[in-house]
Amino acid sequence: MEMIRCEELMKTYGSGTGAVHAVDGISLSFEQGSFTAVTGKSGSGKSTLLHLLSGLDRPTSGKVIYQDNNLFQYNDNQLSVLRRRRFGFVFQAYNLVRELTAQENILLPVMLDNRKPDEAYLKRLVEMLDIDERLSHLPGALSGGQQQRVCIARALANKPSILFADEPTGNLDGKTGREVLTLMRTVSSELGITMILVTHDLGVAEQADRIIRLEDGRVAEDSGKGAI
Amino acid sequence: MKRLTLNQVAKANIRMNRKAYVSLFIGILLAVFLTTCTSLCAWGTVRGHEEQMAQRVGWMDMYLLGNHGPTDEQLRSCGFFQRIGHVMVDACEKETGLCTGYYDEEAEKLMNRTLVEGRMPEKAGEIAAELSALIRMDLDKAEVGDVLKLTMKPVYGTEEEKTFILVGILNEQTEYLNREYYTEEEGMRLPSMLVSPEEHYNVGSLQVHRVLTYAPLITMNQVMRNCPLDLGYYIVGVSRENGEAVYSDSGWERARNLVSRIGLWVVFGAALMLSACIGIATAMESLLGRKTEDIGMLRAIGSTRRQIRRIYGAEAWMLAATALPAGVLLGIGATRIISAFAPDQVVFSLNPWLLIPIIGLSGLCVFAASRLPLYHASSQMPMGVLRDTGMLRRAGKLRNHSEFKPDMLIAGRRVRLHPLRQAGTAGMIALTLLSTLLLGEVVLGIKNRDGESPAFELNDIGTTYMEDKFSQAETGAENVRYEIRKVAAIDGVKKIRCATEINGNMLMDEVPDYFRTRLLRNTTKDGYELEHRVNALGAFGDANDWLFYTSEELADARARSNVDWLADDMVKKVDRMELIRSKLGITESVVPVRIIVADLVPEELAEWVVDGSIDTDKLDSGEQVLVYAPEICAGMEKSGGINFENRILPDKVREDEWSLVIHNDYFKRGMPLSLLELAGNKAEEVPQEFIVGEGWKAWYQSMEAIRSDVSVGAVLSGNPQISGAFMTGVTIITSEKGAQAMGLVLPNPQCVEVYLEDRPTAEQEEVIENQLRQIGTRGWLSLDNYLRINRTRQAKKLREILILAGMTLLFFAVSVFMQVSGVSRQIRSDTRTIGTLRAVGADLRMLVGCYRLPVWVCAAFALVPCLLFYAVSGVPALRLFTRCHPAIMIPILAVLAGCVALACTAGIRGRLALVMRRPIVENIREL
Repeated sequence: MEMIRCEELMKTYGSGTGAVHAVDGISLSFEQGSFTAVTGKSGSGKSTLLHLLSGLDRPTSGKVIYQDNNLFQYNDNQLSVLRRRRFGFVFQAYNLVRELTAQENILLPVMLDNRKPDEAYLKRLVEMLDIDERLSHLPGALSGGQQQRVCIARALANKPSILFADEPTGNLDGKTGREVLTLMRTVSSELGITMILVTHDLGVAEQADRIIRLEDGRVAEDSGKGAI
Repeated sequence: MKRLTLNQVAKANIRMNRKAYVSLFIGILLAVFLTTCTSLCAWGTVRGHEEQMAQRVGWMDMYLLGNHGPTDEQLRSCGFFQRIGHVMVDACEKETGLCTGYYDEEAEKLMNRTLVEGRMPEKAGEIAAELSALIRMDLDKAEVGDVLKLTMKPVYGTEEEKTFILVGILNEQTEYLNREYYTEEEGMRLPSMLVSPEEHYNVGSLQVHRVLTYAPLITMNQVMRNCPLDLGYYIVGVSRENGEAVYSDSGWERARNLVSRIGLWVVFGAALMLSACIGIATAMESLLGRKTEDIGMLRAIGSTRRQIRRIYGAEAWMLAATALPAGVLLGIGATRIISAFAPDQVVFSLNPWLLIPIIGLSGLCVFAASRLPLYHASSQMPMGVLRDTGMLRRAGKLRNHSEFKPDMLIAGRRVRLHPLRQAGTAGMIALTLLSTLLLGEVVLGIKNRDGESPAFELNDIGTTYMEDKFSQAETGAENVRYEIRKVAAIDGVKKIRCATEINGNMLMDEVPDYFRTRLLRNTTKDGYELEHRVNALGAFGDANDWLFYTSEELADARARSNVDWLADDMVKKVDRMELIRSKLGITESVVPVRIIVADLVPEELAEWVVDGSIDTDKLDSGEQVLVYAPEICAGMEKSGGINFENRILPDKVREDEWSLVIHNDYFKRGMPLSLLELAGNKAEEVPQEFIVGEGWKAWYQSMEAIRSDVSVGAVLSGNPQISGAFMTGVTIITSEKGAQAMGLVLPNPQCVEVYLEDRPTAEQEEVIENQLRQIGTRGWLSLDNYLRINRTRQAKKLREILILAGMTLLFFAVSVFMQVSGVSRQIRSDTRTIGTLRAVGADLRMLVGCYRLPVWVCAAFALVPCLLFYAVSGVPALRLFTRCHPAIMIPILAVLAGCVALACTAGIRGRLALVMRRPIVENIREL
C-alpha cells in the first residue's frame, strides 16, 4: 500500500543561466512500512528531496501526495498538525531545544499536539535507545550519540506514519552509527513505520529494503519497485 | 613583520562588524547628546534666572550703607571681597525721602541699571527716575522730557528748590534692594533717581555707599561670621537667587536653591542618561554575546581577562571618541532650539568649561555601561564560553516535566536559565512606569481651588512701627487706608478683604501656665548644647519668662542684663510693663498679644473651631472675639535643631511624635477677656534709646489707651487662613466692625486681598493692575498679581507635565524598542531552534508563546520597584507627593505595564511571522 508519493517534483535555486536544479522532476512512490535509503554524492539533491517529501520545504513545481492530498495545498497550520501527528524527522545535527531536558525534547511533538503521552510506549522507546538514565539532562550535557538518540526518540514519540532521517549517523562514529541505525530499523519495523533515510554511506544504505541513488537531482538508480 | 596591537584587533573588529556596532554607536551618541543637552540647559536655566534677577538687584553681592566702617583698602585686603563700586547719594526729596545720586564706573557695572525709556543723565539739571519714585512724588503722569520741580534736601545741607529735566525712566530696583533702617542719618538708602555727578547744591555733602562682590567661594554668612573688619550696622546682602536684599545667605541655601532650579534638568538628564546607559549596556551585551566563540577562542589561545576587556572595551572607547563631537554638536543644536522656545527659562550660553563635565559624564556613562558586560564576557572559562556551562550549572535544579505546555515551559526555562537577559529592558520599563507615576501624581495633584480666591494682593511694606511689643505707631504713610478705599471703587473689583495686625495686650490678674516658656535642650553634632525656648504666646520667637518672674528672678536678670541679651530683653519688657501700669494705674499683668482685624468668613473658619461657635453679630458688635489658641508641638532633630508645628488640631496631636507639646488648657468659650491697645500717631516719636528711660515713659504717656472687655466666642486651633494673616502663637481675632465697636485704633492693614467680578481679559487685567500698582505705590503697599502668579505656576506645571509626558513616551518607545530588538536578536540566534520547533509541528501561536512569557515577566518585574517606590513615597515623613492616589495610579501602572508587554508581543509576533515566511529548512540550516 502506497504511503507517500511525489510527482514531477522540482526544486530550483536561483534563476536564468545560474539556476541550480537541486531536484529535477523526480517522481517516486513509497510503500507503507518500507525502509528506503536515498544515496548520492554531495549536492545530488538527496536532502532537498527529503525536505520536500516531509513538507519542510516547498517545491518549485510538482506534488507530494500523502493520503490522496497534495501536501502543498495545506496551509501552514495544517502542515504543522500533519508534521506533529504523522511525520517524524531525524536531523543530522540533532536540533534539540537546548532549554529543554532530553525527556522534554522527546515529549515535545506529543505535547504540541495536546495529547497524553503513552508512557509505556515511551518507556520502552527510551530503554531501547538506552537513554533512560539521561532523561533529565539538558542537550548540552549529552554526548553526540546520546543527542542523536534523543532526536530519534523525539521523531518516534508520536508514533508517526513516516520517519524521515537526514544523515542520522553522519556525526557518529561507525559503531554508534550502526547501533543507532539498527535501533531505528527495529522500532520502525515493530511499529510499521515507513522510513526514508538519506545517507551517503553505502554501508548504511545497504541495510535498506530499497536504495535510490540520485545524481544531479534526478534518479540515477532505483533498486525497488516504487519508481513511477 | 609588524607587531599586532590590541587597538588594531579592536579596529579590525569594528570594521568586520559594522552593522552590529551601529546600535552601540547610537547608544553612545545618545549618551553624549543627552549629557550635552541637559548640561547646557541646566547651565542656561541658572544663567537665565541669574540674568533675570540681575535686572532687579544688579551683579553685586552686598552693599554697605554710609561713609562709616572700613576703608576700601581694608575691604580689598581682607580677602572677603573682590570688586568695590561707589554709589553717591547727594540729596533726598523732601516729602517722600526718596534719594538722588550717581555711580562711579564700577558701581555702574555692579548696579546693572537699565532704562525703560530715555537715557541716563549726562549733565547738571537732568534726572532719570524709577516709575515708582515718580508715582510716590505724585508725578506719575510725568513723561521723558518734562520739567520736574522738586524740593530737595541735600545730605547735611539745606533745602533747595531744584528744576530737573526728566531724561529717562529707570528700571525698578530700589524696591528690591532698600531695607528700612531706624536711623535719622540722611541719605541712608540707595537712590531711586539718578542725576549727573555735575549736579550741585549750595550747601550739602555726599553719602557714599559701597557695593561689593564676594571673593570666589565666599558667602554672606562667612562674611558676617568671619570677616575681621567691623562692617557696622548698615550692611545688606543681596541674593540673586531671590532677587532681593537679605540678612543672611548661606552657601547651603544657595546650593539648595540651585538644586531646586536645575533639579528638573538633573532628574530629566539622569533618567535619560540612565536609559542611554541601559542602551549601551544592552548593545554591548548583545555584541559580546555574538562574539562568545571569538572570546572563547581568544581565551583558549591565551588571552588574559584583562586583555579581553581591553580589546572589547577599546571598541567602546573608539566609538565614544567618534560619537563625542557629533553628540556635542547635536546637544548644542538642541539646546539652541529649546532656548528659542523658552528664552526666559533657558538662556543659550556656551561656556567652554562645560565641556569638561560633558566629556567626563559621557565617559562615565560609557565606562559604567560597558563595564558589566565586559566583566561578564571576560570572566568565563574558554570551554565554558563554548559550551555555555553557565547555563548547565543553572540548570542543576531543574524539574523534569512529563507533561507540559511546550511554549510556557520553553519560555519559563529561558527566564530561569538566562535571568539577566531581560534586566536592561526591565529597568527601562521600570523607568517608564516611574515617569508615568510622577506624571500621574503631578496631574492629579493639581488642586482645583475651592471657592473664591483673590486676584491681587497688596501687602504692607513697613508703614507701621511694631518693634515695641506693647504698642504700635504709624511711620508716616497715613494715607494708606484712604488709598485702599479707592481699590474697591476700581471697575471690575468685586470686593476687598483686609487683614490688619495690632500689637495689643491682655490685662490679666494671673498669667496662665499655657503662656509659660518651656525649654527644650538639644546637643548638636559638634557637641554644642542648644537651648530652645518655646511658648504658645510668642509661638517660636519671643521668650515670656518675664511674665512669670519673681522679684528675685527679676533682680537676677537685671544683674545679668549688661552681659546677657535675653536677660536684658526680659528686664526691658518688665520695665515697660511697669510704665504702662503706672500710666493706666492698674495692677494686672500686661501681656502682649497679636490682634488680627479682618473681614471674616465664618464658613472658612468653621473646621478650625475647637470650642464654641462663630456668631457674626456678636463679633461685629464687639461683644465677642475669637481666640486662636494653638497646640504647640516641638521635636528635636538629629542635627541639633528643633522642629516646630502649630497647625495640628488638638485631637490629631500624637504626643509620642514630639518632645514637647503645649496644650491650650486656658482659653474656653464664654470666658471674659480684658483687651488693651496702646496706639501712637507717629513712629518718628518712638524713643531710639535701647534702655527704658524717660523717653519711653513719655512715649507711653502720649499714647492713646483703648481698653475693652469682651468674651471669647470661639476658640480656634490648627491652620485657619485669615486674609493672608499668618497665624503662629495665641492671637485674638475680630472683624473690622467689631474692632470699630471696641474703639480700637487700626494701623495700616498688613494685607489687602482684591477679588474681581469676573475673570478679566488681558487688557482689563493690565488696567486693574496698573491702577492697583499706583494706589499701592502711593500707599507703600507691594502688589502681587495672583492671576499672573497662577498663570506662571500653571505654565510651570504644564511644562513639568509636558516634560514628564515626553519622558514617559520616550521611555515607552525605548522600552518597546529595546524589548522587541532584544527579542529579535534572540529570534535571529534561535532560528535553528525555531526551525526545529516548526519541524516537529509548532505553529505561530506556540512560537509567540515561547517569547511572550519573558516579556510579561519583565513587565511584572518592572512594576515591582515602581510600586515599592510608590509605597515608600506615601510615608508621611517623605511627603514626595502632596497627595497620593493609589486607587487611580496602581491600575494605570498595571495597565501601562500590560500595554508595554502587549506592544512588545505584537512586535515579536510580527518578527516571528517574518521568520515563518521562510521554509523550515532555511531556518534549520540558518541560511
